[in-house]
Amino acid sequence: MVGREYKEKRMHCTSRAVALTAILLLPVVTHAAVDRHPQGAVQPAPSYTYRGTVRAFSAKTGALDLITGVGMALRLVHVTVAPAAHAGGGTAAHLAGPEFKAGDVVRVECHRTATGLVADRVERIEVPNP
Amino acid sequence: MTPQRVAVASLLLLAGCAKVVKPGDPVPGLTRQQLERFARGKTVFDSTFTPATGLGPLFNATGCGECHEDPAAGGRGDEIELHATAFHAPTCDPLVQEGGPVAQLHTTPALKQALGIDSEPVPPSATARAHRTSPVVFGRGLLDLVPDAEILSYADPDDRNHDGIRGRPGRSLDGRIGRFGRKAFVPTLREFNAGAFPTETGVTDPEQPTEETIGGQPIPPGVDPVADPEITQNALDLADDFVRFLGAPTAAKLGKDGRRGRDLFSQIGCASCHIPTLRTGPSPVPALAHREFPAYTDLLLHDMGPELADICLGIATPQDFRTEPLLDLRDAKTFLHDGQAATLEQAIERHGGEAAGVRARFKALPVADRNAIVAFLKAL
Repeated sequence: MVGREYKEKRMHCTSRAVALTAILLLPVVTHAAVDRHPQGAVQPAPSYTYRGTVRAFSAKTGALDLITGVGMALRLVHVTVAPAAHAGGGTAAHLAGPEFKAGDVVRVECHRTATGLVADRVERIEVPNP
Repeated sequence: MTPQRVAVASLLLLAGCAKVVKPGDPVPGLTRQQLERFARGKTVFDSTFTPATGLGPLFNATGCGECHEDPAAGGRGDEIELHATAFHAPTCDPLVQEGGPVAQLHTTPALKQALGIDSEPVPPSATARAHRTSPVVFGRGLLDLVPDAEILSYADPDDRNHDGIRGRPGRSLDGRIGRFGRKAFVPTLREFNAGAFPTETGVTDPEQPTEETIGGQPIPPGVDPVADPEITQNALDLADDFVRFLGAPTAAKLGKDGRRGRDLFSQIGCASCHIPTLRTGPSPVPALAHREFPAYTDLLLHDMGPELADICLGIATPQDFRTEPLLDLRDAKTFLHDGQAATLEQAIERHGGEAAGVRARFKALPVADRNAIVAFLKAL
């Protein structure tokens, strides 16, 4: 009798554990399903915005080294300013690449590609003096 | 006594009993909830990190409280850190690509094992190095709220009033007016605090989740296994609130000498830059909003002459330094940004550049008057 009770209790516990596991896993499974995009669907590339000071810029390659950061925790961000863009592409009005020099303050909107960050828009910020 | 006289007497008594803020005290007037956050934030501020909780791989200290401890949490420390940048006039390169501008003095055992280094190498392209003491962070929440317009009102870059003192605001990387750091490089307290975790302890946070390089090189694999960010948003917010709510200590009661020293401090021109009181602007925290507080700074950059020159940062040249707020000087054991002045007199005598005239007037004073100024400063 005692053994049967124990077995029943254990079965009950097992059922509860299975149910609990199912409940806990449900969001994971459904989230994973949502994350599986149908083949061929175009996902917009996440965009990034940086404000900082130009460390170096090569008009020839479009390579822009931007110093940015939080407080004293400074970081270097490498962005490519597409040559087509500063040659007169769709966003050319906002790209002043060839004129960048070390010390310029800029705001860069960019997106990430397989080769790194590519600028969509670069704006020079005029800093008042003083 | 008439009721009117009783009311006047009560008001005078209340004014006389204005809350004295001791070093480490919160600003008066915080709500119970804010005081609770102050207390919880102090716990984060005082906590000690280990490699298992995110410390390093490069660091200057194992927690905020290691360097800001004397005479209370938020105070000074005896640690001296090392900064290095390159100045190629008129441009300043903080040498981020070589691990600058802060060269951390310690490494975790894992980094030491991987690279055999005890500290971060000083950037090889540096044109100057600078030593930096850990200042008190009392009253920083109030300084944070001084409006840009008030700071700009003290600027006189062309010395139009011909007093020899110019003053211009420092600027952050993105052009905002700087308030914090010896070179007025950081515009807000929030950014200073969020940047201090990774810079000083190597603990990344949600606002700077990227570890810094080791002298410009990537962190060797396996050296820093803790996932970034290494502290939560909540922990960062609490630490930030603790610092923000630290009050500006009330000066000690002045004796006759101290009162004369206070007058002389203004008469010889010290108060042209060390402006005794500033006023905050609006804030969602009523205890911080529209408050006049002892600051003894104009938050501007001043040319302090070639003898003090060290590094550049932002638009600050090697000779430019932000006027240091004179808070809790009574507890200071060394003076100036590099801790190289053992006494207040030495600190004053090292003021050059725009302050050379004031220094000359100080040195020309009779000994008793110089002592009176020192007595006044020691009461702050």
